Amino acid sequence: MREIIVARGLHFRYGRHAALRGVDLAVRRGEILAVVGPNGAGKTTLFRLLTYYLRPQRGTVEYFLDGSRTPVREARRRIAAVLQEPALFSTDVFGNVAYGLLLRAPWGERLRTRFVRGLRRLRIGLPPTRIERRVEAALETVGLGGFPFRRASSLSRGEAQRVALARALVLEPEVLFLDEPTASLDPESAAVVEGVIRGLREKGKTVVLSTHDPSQAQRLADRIVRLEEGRIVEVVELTAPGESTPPRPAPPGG
Amino acid sequence: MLKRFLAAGGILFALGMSLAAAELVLATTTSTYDTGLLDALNRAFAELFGVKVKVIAVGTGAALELAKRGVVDLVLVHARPLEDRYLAEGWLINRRDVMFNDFVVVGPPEDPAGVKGLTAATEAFRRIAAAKARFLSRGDNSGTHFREMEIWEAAGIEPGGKWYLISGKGMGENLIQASLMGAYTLTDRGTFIAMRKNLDLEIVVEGPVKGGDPLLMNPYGVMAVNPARFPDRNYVLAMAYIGFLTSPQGQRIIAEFTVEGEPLFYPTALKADPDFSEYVPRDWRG
Amino acid sequence: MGEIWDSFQAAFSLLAHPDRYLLSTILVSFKVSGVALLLCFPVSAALAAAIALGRFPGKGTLKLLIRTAMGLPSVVVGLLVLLLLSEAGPFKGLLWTPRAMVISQLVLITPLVLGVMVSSLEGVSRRVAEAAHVLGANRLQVAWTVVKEARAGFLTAGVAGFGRAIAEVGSVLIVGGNIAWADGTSYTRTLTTAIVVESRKGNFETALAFGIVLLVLVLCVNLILGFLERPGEAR
Repeated sequence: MREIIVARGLHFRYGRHAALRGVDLAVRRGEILAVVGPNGAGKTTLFRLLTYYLRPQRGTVEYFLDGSRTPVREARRRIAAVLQEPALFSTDVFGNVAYGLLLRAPWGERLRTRFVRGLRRLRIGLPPTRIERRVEAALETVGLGGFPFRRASSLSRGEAQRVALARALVLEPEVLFLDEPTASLDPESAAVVEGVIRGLREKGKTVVLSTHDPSQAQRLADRIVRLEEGRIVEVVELTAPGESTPPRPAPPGG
Repeated sequence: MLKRFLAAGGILFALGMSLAAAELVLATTTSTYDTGLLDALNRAFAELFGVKVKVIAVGTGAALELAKRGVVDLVLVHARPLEDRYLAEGWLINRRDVMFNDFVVVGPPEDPAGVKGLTAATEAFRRIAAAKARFLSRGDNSGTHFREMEIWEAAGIEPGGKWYLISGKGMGENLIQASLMGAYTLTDRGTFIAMRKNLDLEIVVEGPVKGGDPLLMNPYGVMAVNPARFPDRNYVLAMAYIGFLTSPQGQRIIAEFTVEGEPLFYPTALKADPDFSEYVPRDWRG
Repeated sequence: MGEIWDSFQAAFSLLAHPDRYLLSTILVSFKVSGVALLLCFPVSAALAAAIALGRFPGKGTLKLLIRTAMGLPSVVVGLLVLLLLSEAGPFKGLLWTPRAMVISQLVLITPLVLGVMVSSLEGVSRRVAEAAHVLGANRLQVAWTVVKEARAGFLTAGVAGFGRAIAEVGSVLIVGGNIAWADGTSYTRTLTTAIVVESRKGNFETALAFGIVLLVLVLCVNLILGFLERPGEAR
């Protein structure tokens, strides 16, 4: 089955403000889907619903990661997200990037990792644990290898954004949500991130990203969905990223 | 599962409580406790019976109310009218006289109301009211406060006005305030003697211990909480304490308790020919 | 002026040779307030997490109640606990013991500790909770992560609670009875209630000595609080 996320009839309001007014969306396996639109259009809300952080007042969100319907708990374990200006935890870089791994690891491994980590902080060298190796690999991918003890609070904006990305990447999610992934990045870091996104697609992962930058969408995405005032107004099918085809207006919900 | 856990915890708790049962709780007045007499008595009691007495020192009114709620085992107070009431209502039983001292009326050395040397407290109060000289009342339902009210009543005066002030404090603090304000006040002799060096006050009306007004007599009574009403109180130990207080040994400790060489209390429990008025309310028809 | 200085000097010399009375009183103060805090802390932490992170109607009213309870005078709390303990059958034996004092201090400081904890949890950005969620944390794990982010505020809550407990006099006076044994050892007499009885008796130097100890303690508590609120500057 080509569609791994199916969202139907999504309505969501914060108090009196209606953020989404009837959205139907399907995300296809292995694609890069870009959600574009002006501020306040409902992009972040859509992401919150798709990651099950919020429950829609009306409508459903369903995952089909293995062909049949994936239960919510399992789906949540196999996806990850990086928020707009993401909040890092007040610990060091390792603590942040390893967060999701530690959640998923059995308690024995958790204890062992923390113990080894503590010893390493005291400059006692031990062979790296499985979690430490994966963290290091993820940090390398975003170009931040080598400084796992740095406090999160001492990072620059760009570095923090990349740590947040590593935090999600390390989980090797089947679907990765990125809300404005290069918004506060300098051009070099932005290029690194875009490279990471493309790399994911090559590995067959699915990426859903939101962006302000229409050229970024054109560069990266297989499909572009345009959101305005809580509704999908346009869906554009690009045959391959980088190739631009004249937009074909299609009915919302394609 | 939670219920069983709570039940087990509750049983252990109650067990612990009952093992700690051998204690005695005595409620008394702050002025009595502050003299230090009770510590002397309780040291001896601990030697005799191996029991440490818990003394709760509050106002007279509060001490009696605590007894009425069954949270103490016995009381030692000095307010006969109130004691009679609680006896009549059956909250407290087995009253015995223990000791007495007396009240004195004290005032500033300048004696603005000209009452120094009077032999009747009622007359002194009348002159103070007439002169509108400052008077400081405890105003706290204490034994002293009750006696003060009785004297006003006997003098036929209802105190009030700018000259009549209420401190609401304990005896020691009341004396200090009276001294600072240059006010007259009623005090028990014991507290006055103990604090005399810090005060700028003199005795203006003497009490019966030094041959003065019998209206200023201050007798102390001890009573046990009625076990029929509060069976979980330690009645037997309370009676042992009353026995101790009214025994030759206890009475001797009281007689020998001095401050600055002067005795504070005079024991009255031992009577070769008892007069039965100590056991029942004074107006008992029997 | 000279008299005040004399009193202080007398008080300090009393402190230089602490007797059993002073030491046992300090011990009682610490024991009671310490145990009260120890019991209060985990319960308040769990409650605070439930309140701050939960979505339920009447949250505003609940927070108002907590703020109101924070301002309860200690005497009122003492009276309430006294009345409660004098009615409830099996618990009657608790009156006039340090345990009753722990109970009344628990009632007294929990609203404060809870209030500060809730405040500090709400000060943690909602985005932290969201970040934890989208990385796969369940409700309990999200709560624990948010609590860890608020750990400084939680520490402040604990220290503030202890400070309030050790310096209060109203409730422990009423439910403890201010009892000292005949040999001078304190049973339910704390630093604060000792000041009450010694000043009532006119032993002003002794009362002052106790007061100085209390002041030093409260000073230390405030120093710690100040350090916690600005961790960088103290270095």
